[in-house]
Amino acid sequence: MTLSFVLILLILVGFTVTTVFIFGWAARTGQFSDLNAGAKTVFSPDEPEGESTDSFPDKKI
Amino acid sequence: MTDSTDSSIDPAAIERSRRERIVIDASARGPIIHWLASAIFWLLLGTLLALGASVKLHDPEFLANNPWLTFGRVRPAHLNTMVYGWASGACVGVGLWIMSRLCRAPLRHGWSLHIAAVFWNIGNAVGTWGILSGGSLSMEWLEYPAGAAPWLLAAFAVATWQGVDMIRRRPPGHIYVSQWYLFASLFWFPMLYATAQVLLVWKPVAAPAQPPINWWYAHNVLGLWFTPVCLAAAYYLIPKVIGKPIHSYFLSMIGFWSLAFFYAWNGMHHLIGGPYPAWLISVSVAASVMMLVPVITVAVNHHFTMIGNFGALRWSPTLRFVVFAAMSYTVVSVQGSLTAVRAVNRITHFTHYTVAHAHLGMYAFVTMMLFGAIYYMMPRLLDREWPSAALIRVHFWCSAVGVLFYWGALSYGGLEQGLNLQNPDMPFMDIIARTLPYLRMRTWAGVLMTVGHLAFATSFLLMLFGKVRVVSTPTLFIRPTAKTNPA
Repeated sequence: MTLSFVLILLILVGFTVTTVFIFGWAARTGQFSDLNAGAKTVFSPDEPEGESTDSFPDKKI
Repeated sequence: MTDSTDSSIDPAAIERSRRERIVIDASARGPIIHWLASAIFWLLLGTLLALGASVKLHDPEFLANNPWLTFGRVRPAHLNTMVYGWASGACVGVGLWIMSRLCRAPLRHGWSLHIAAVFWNIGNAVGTWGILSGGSLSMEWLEYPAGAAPWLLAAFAVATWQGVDMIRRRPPGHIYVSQWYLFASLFWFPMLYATAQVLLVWKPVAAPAQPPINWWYAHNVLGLWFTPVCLAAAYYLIPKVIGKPIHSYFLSMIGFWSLAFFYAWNGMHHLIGGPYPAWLISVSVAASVMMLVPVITVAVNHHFTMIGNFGALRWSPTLRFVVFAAMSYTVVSVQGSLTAVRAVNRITHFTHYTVAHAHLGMYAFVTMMLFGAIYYMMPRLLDREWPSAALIRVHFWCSAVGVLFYWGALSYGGLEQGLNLQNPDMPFMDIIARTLPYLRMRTWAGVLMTVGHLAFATSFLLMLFGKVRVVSTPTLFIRPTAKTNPA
């Protein structure tokens, strides 16, 4: 039974360790370097910042 | 209008971007609507089961003669059809669509998602049939009999693969916070579900170790699957609807990473008072309280983003659902952190208070967010508008008032029940009898929510199969004015 509880602990540690590795990758590849620009990636030239998009979509091509 | 970038003035760039968006939405149309339509079917079935279960708690004779419809089967059937059929199915649809939009990558091999949706539906049908016929596994959130899981896992593998395929094709550069949430959740859910299935069903661990794994799963599926998808939707939809980036991107990053680092340690606080090693439960209590960090960052961020734009709630159906859900997220999370504290848990555990809390999470937050996202997506996927603002209005008010009434009545009733249970002089049957008025209120709240769901399903069906209404204006509650829409 002790083994079962050790297994639970290993699962928890496993989740965190995976996250640490991915966090390291994000930091190395500059994901945290320009946060203000990052915030604007939801906008695009046809749906720019400052315009509400809750409207009927454009006609098809 | 403001802050226009250079590319937004260039007509060629605007046209390119518009065409790219239309291609993405067209690629998602069939498969995503297949997932959403299936989810809505399970929502309606789950609602019916919910109403039945609720009535039985104050009228035990109701449909009691048929073993298929006894409380012990109807209640877990309700929970599982809602969790897997409705919420998870809708999360796959909403999540993959937002992913394709943010990765600027059209969905490829749509047929695979069609097959996955069929598998997902078979898994849910096998599971629901299994529970109703008496084959429930009797583990919270995992009641579906063993035959359901392989279908669900196979279907989800396709969803994960689709998410990875889109992330790989994203333009170089920044990964938006919603992409982080979605990408992570596409791995978290199968990891959680497979772990729970292996350790509890396929090769069960020692019996005393099963409840911690069960609750670790049941709690984490909320925090590492539904929460990330719904927060991803909020971080995408709020800026898109009001045309303003989120207030602090830095805070959103703190929110995501603190959730990713610490959420998996939650769950075992459900076993406070149980015969478990103290460290196991204390770790979860500490992790639950630490969850205040991501919650406060998200709450502050959403609130400050909305400041100056609350007027938009008057006209935008999407925003109204999404903001209601985002506010509920704050309330349910703070409530959750407090409930995990031993002193509070001693009173509220095993009472209706917990049921109210669960519905604030799965309904007021998750379900309302998914409704909001679907209201935004469908016109873009189908290239036609919602048939009636009145139906959306009925849906919103019935759902919102319904769930708040539900939560209020059961929280109060549950607290009273918990305090009474501490009193050794009060007979147990008296305590039960005193909860009856609150249980009846719950049924009425459930009726309201059912009306809302019927309005939603009607809208959805009319939109899919009704006469095409070609309009050039959105279906909004009222016409926005300069006053209500400063953007």
